[in-house]
Amino acid sequence: MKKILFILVILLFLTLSTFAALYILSPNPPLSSLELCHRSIATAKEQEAEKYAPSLIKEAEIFYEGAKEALQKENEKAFFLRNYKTVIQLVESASSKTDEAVKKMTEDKANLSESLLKKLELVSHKIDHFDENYADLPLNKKARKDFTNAKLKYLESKKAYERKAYLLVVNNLDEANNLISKSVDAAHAHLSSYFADLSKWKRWHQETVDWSRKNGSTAIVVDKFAQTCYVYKDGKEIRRFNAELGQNWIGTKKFRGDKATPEGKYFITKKKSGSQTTYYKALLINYPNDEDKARYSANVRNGSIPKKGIGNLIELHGGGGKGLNWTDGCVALTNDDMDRLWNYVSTGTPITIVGSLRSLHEINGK
Amino acid sequence: MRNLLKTVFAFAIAGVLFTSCAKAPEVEITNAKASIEATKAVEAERYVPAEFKALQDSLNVALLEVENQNAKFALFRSYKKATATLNNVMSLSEQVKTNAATRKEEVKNQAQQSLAEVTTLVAEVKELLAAAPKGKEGKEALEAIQGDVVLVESFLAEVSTLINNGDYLTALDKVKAAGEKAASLKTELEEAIAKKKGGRK
Repeated sequence: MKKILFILVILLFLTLSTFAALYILSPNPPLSSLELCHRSIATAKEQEAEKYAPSLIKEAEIFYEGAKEALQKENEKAFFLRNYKTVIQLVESASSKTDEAVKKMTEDKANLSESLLKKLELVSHKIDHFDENYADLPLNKKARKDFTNAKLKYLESKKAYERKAYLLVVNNLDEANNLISKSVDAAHAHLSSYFADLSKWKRWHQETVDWSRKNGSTAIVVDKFAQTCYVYKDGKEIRRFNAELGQNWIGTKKFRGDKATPEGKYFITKKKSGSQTTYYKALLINYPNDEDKARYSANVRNGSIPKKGIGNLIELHGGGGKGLNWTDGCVALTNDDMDRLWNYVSTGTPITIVGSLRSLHEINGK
Repeated sequence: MRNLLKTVFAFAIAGVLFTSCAKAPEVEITNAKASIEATKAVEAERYVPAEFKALQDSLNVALLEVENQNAKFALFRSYKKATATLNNVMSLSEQVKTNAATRKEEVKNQAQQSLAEVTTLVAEVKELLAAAPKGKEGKEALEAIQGDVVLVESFLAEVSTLINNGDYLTALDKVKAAGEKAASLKTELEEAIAKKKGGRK
């Protein structure tokens, strides 16, 4: 009996020893690798990898979930039959995909940030350019609306960019760019026909300056686009004043009440002051001249304008300095500038009004 | 011999009791996962991303610890550490929920406050527009500004919608943009009115 018991104890000891040896030598589950992999996936997702590299991060997650399932399957086996090779391979694949996703995300984010910054600068430049050159033009309501909308979208994009919400910026900024481009196109379309007379204006300007030089006398040139009134003496510019124009100053005056400022070579017919004018001091010019009359008749004949009369009483007068184009077609200077101009001129002094002295390309800085 | 059998029997009973006690904390796992889902409902991912990530990391650590214990021989398993981590995840979730709600409320208040400020600014612009001199002088310009005010107001309506939809960060971007535009309109009007007043002798 004792012998049997002894054998049983020995067998039990051997079994336990074998069990212990196998247990100690069995592989450990790669938990730290799994934990590290999960952290890197979570970090990548926190940095918006799902938005910048969605397929890669999805693949990484699938590999990671596969690794977890494989781990569970292995753990269900007897400990001495476990093999975590598949788990390790899947974790490595998940980590590799995560690294790829992070790399792609980092590059894409940096590229997007850079390209958006450039686009922000471009749109800002377009808005500033429009603001400076075209915002005060008598454009149609849609062009103005597009411009304001573009500015609002641009400002919103800028705020989103500052908080690094780049993907939000993309759509808004594209919209802003489209809107400001439309406004610029509308302004250019509006101005392209206007600038068709540039060579004529330059010729008028030159003739007026030459007249001033030959006669040793004063002559005035008003540049409507620059909204500037130049005073020449002996062919040299001696003064310049800011000028305000008719509300629809783009294009020459065609008929009574069109609120346009005429373009042409005129002269002063009367100097008005005191009770003779409501605008402090005024210099009446000989609008309409022969050219204006001929154009008016032709336009009435071809039906391009209503038969309202050609209009008259176009003056350079005071009351200006409002910062906008507000007259019915006259040229307005501040009262102080009117005082200064008053002393240089007399009845008969030439006043040439031109659309612009610079081309649209020059104005656009091209 | 009888004593030996009693001892073996006692050990067997103890072993059965021991293994039956060391069960995976399934309830705690379910609860911890549910608590994390609850933090998503208050947009913790968006408003407290770092805290949310830490929470997910903790849950993952706990789940891996459960697997670690599952890998052990039944007699040696202990889920105490995993259970403690899971309990910690649950209490942390509450904290994260509170923090996310607080942060969300802060941004919401900020957006609402900005909306109120810009609405007041727009009202001031409208008052200035009403007070601006009528007549031919500047009529076109005033109409243009009026058009811009309408656009700013439509922008503010979008802000209200965004706030109602809980998209406070986008609402803030929009309201700040509207604020800048409204401020520039106000300046434009004030300057125009000042020029009008000082324009004549």
